[in-house]
Amino acid sequence: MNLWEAAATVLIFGLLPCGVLLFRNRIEDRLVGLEMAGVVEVMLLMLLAQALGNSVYFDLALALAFMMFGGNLVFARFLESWM
Amino acid sequence: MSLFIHLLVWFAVALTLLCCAALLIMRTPIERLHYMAPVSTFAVLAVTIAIACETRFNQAAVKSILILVIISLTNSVLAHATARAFRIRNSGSWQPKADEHMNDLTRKE
Repeated sequence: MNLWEAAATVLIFGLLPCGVLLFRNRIEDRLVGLEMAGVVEVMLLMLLAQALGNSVYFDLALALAFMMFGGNLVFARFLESWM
Repeated sequence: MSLFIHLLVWFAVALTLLCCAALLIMRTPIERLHYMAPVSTFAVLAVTIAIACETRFNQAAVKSILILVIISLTNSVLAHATARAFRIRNSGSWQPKADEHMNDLTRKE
Protein backbone atom coordinates (compact mmCIF):
# COMPACT_ATOMS: atom_id res chain seq x y z
CA MET A 1 0.00 0.00 0.00
CA ASN A 2 1.46 3.37 -0.97
CA LEU A 3 0.88 6.82 0.54
CA TRP A 4 -2.09 7.66 -1.64
CA GLU A 5 -3.93 4.41 -1.00
CA ALA A 6 -3.35 4.69 2.74
CA ALA A 7 -4.56 8.30 2.77
CA ALA A 8 -7.66 7.38 0.76
CA THR A 9 -8.40 4.51 3.17
CA VAL A 10 -8.20 6.79 6.19
CA LEU A 11 -10.20 9.53 4.46
CA ILE A 12 -13.14 7.15 3.98
CA PHE A 13 -13.82 7.45 7.72
CA GLY A 14 -14.58 11.12 7.12
CA LEU A 15 -17.78 10.04 5.43
CA LEU A 16 -19.11 8.49 8.65
CA PRO A 17 -19.98 11.80 10.38
CA CYS A 18 -21.56 12.99 7.14
CA GLY A 19 -23.65 9.84 7.08
CA VAL A 20 -24.73 10.37 10.69
CA LEU A 21 -25.88 13.88 9.78
CA LEU A 22 -27.86 12.52 6.85
CA PHE A 23 -29.97 10.42 9.24
CA ARG A 24 -30.77 13.27 11.62
CA ASN A 25 -34.20 14.76 11.81
CA ARG A 26 -33.48 18.31 10.67
CA ILE A 27 -33.41 18.72 6.94
CA GLU A 28 -30.88 21.56 7.17
CA ASP A 29 -28.38 19.25 8.87
CA ARG A 30 -28.86 16.68 6.14
CA LEU A 31 -28.03 19.20 3.42
CA VAL A 32 -24.83 20.24 5.20
CA GLY A 33 -23.87 16.57 5.58
CA LEU A 34 -24.50 16.01 1.88
CA GLU A 35 -22.36 18.98 0.86
CA MET A 36 -19.48 17.94 3.08
CA ALA A 37 -19.71 14.36 1.81
CA GLY A 38 -19.41 15.68 -1.74
CA VAL A 39 -16.19 17.54 -1.00
CA VAL A 40 -14.73 14.54 0.82
CA GLU A 41 -15.61 12.31 -2.13
CA VAL A 42 -13.85 14.66 -4.56
CA MET A 43 -10.72 14.44 -2.42
CA LEU A 44 -11.09 10.66 -2.24
CA LEU A 45 -11.25 10.42 -6.02
CA MET A 46 -8.17 12.63 -6.37
CA LEU A 47 -6.21 10.43 -3.96
CA LEU A 48 -7.38 7.23 -5.64
CA ALA A 49 -6.56 8.61 -9.10
CA GLN A 50 -3.02 9.37 -7.95
CA ALA A 51 -2.78 5.95 -6.28
CA LEU A 52 -3.79 4.17 -9.49
CA GLY A 53 -1.39 6.32 -11.48
CA ASN A 54 -3.77 7.15 -14.31
CA SER A 55 -4.62 10.80 -14.93
CA VAL A 56 -7.88 9.85 -16.65
CA TYR A 57 -9.42 9.12 -13.24
CA PHE A 58 -9.06 12.77 -12.31
CA ASP A 59 -11.88 13.42 -14.76
CA LEU A 60 -14.21 11.64 -12.31
CA ALA A 61 -13.31 14.07 -9.54
CA LEU A 62 -13.71 16.96 -11.95
CA ALA A 63 -17.15 15.81 -13.04
CA LEU A 64 -18.21 15.22 -9.43
CA ALA A 65 -17.09 18.74 -8.47
CA PHE A 66 -19.34 20.22 -11.14
CA MET A 67 -22.31 17.96 -10.46
CA MET A 68 -22.06 18.42 -6.70
CA PHE A 69 -22.31 22.18 -7.06
CA GLY A 70 -25.37 22.05 -9.28
CA GLY A 71 -27.16 19.37 -7.29
CA ASN A 72 -26.62 20.97 -3.89
CA LEU A 73 -27.68 24.34 -5.24
CA VAL A 74 -30.97 22.79 -6.37
CA PHE A 75 -31.49 21.26 -2.91
CA ALA A 76 -30.78 24.62 -1.25
CA ARG A 77 -33.26 26.33 -3.53
CA PHE A 78 -35.95 23.76 -2.77
CA LEU A 79 -35.19 24.03 0.95
CA GLU A 80 -36.32 27.65 0.97
CA SER A 81 -39.98 26.95 0.59
CA TRP A 82 -40.94 23.69 -1.06
CA MET A 83 -39.53 21.07 1.33
CA MET B 1 10.58 16.07 -1.18
CA SER B 2 9.02 12.75 -0.25
CA LEU B 3 8.64 13.87 3.38
CA PHE B 4 7.06 17.13 2.21
CA ILE B 5 4.53 15.21 0.10
CA HIS B 6 3.73 12.90 3.02
CA LEU B 7 3.20 15.88 5.33
CA LEU B 8 0.90 17.60 2.87
CA VAL B 9 -1.26 14.55 2.29
CA TRP B 10 -1.61 13.66 5.96
CA PHE B 11 -2.29 17.29 6.82
CA ALA B 12 -5.15 17.28 4.31
CA VAL B 13 -6.52 14.00 5.67
CA ALA B 14 -6.27 15.15 9.31
CA LEU B 15 -7.90 18.50 8.55
CA THR B 16 -10.75 16.79 6.72
CA LEU B 17 -11.36 14.30 9.53
CA LEU B 18 -11.31 17.10 12.12
CA CYS B 19 -13.83 19.16 10.17
CA CYS B 20 -16.07 16.12 9.64
CA ALA B 21 -15.95 15.42 13.39
CA ALA B 22 -16.80 19.06 14.04
CA LEU B 23 -19.98 18.59 12.00
CA LEU B 24 -21.27 16.30 14.74
CA ILE B 25 -20.14 18.55 17.59
CA MET B 26 -21.67 21.79 16.35
CA ARG B 27 -25.29 22.46 17.30
CA THR B 28 -26.80 24.51 14.49
CA PRO B 29 -26.68 24.03 10.70
CA ILE B 30 -25.09 27.45 10.20
CA GLU B 31 -22.25 26.54 12.57
CA ARG B 32 -21.78 23.23 10.74
CA LEU B 33 -21.66 25.05 7.43
CA HIS B 34 -18.53 26.93 8.52
CA TYR B 35 -16.52 23.71 8.75
CA MET B 36 -16.83 23.04 5.05
CA ALA B 37 -14.54 25.98 4.27
CA PRO B 38 -11.22 24.52 5.53
CA VAL B 39 -11.83 21.26 3.69
CA SER B 40 -12.75 22.87 0.37
CA THR B 41 -9.78 25.26 0.49
CA PHE B 42 -6.80 24.12 2.56
CA ALA B 43 -7.27 20.37 2.38
CA VAL B 44 -7.82 20.29 -1.39
CA LEU B 45 -4.93 22.77 -1.81
CA ALA B 46 -2.60 20.51 0.16
CA VAL B 47 -3.57 17.48 -1.94
CA THR B 48 -3.12 19.50 -5.14
CA ILE B 49 0.36 20.67 -4.13
CA ALA B 50 1.31 17.12 -3.16
CA ILE B 51 0.13 15.77 -6.54
CA ALA B 52 1.93 18.57 -8.39
CA CYS B 53 5.17 17.87 -6.51
CA GLU B 54 4.97 14.13 -7.14
CA THR B 55 4.01 14.28 -10.82
CA ARG B 56 6.12 17.33 -11.73
CA PHE B 57 3.27 19.28 -13.34
CA ASN B 58 1.94 16.82 -15.87
CA GLN B 59 -1.69 16.24 -16.86
CA ALA B 60 -2.66 14.99 -13.39
CA ALA B 61 -1.33 18.16 -11.74
CA VAL B 62 -3.19 20.41 -14.19
CA LYS B 63 -6.44 18.56 -13.55
CA SER B 64 -5.86 18.77 -9.79
CA ILE B 65 -5.37 22.53 -10.05
CA LEU B 66 -8.57 22.75 -12.05
CA ILE B 67 -10.43 20.76 -9.39
CA LEU B 68 -9.01 23.02 -6.69
CA VAL B 69 -10.21 26.17 -8.46
CA ILE B 70 -13.67 24.72 -9.06
CA ILE B 71 -14.10 23.43 -5.52
CA SER B 72 -12.85 26.65 -3.90
CA LEU B 73 -15.06 28.90 -6.01
CA THR B 74 -18.20 26.80 -6.06
CA ASN B 75 -18.10 25.92 -2.38
CA SER B 76 -18.12 29.55 -1.34
CA VAL B 77 -21.15 30.20 -3.54
CA LEU B 78 -22.79 27.03 -2.28
CA ALA B 79 -22.24 27.91 1.38
CA HIS B 80 -23.76 31.32 0.84
CA ALA B 81 -26.75 29.89 -1.03
CA THR B 82 -27.26 27.25 1.65
CA ALA B 83 -27.12 29.77 4.52
CA ARG B 84 -29.51 32.00 2.63
CA ALA B 85 -31.90 29.08 2.15
CA PHE B 86 -31.78 28.32 5.90
CA ARG B 87 -32.51 31.95 6.68
CA ILE B 88 -35.46 32.13 4.28
CA ARG B 89 -36.81 28.82 5.57
CA ASN B 90 -36.67 29.96 9.20
CA SER B 91 -37.60 33.64 8.90
CA GLY B 92 -39.51 33.93 5.64
CA SER B 93 -37.04 36.41 4.18
CA TRP B 94 -33.26 36.71 4.02
CA GLN B 95 -33.39 40.39 4.87
CA PRO B 96 -33.07 41.43 8.53
CA LYS B 97 -36.18 42.57 10.29
CA ALA B 98 -36.38 46.02 11.87
CA ASP B 99 -36.34 44.74 15.46
CA GLU B 100 -33.75 42.01 14.91
CA HIS B 101 -30.27 42.07 16.44
CA MET B 102 -27.19 39.96 15.77
CA ASN B 103 -27.30 38.40 19.26
CA ASP B 104 -30.91 37.34 18.71
CA LEU B 105 -29.98 35.55 15.50
CA THR B 106 -27.52 33.22 17.20
CA ARG B 107 -29.82 32.54 20.13
CA LYS B 108 -32.87 31.72 18.02
CA GLU B 109 -31.19 28.83 16.20
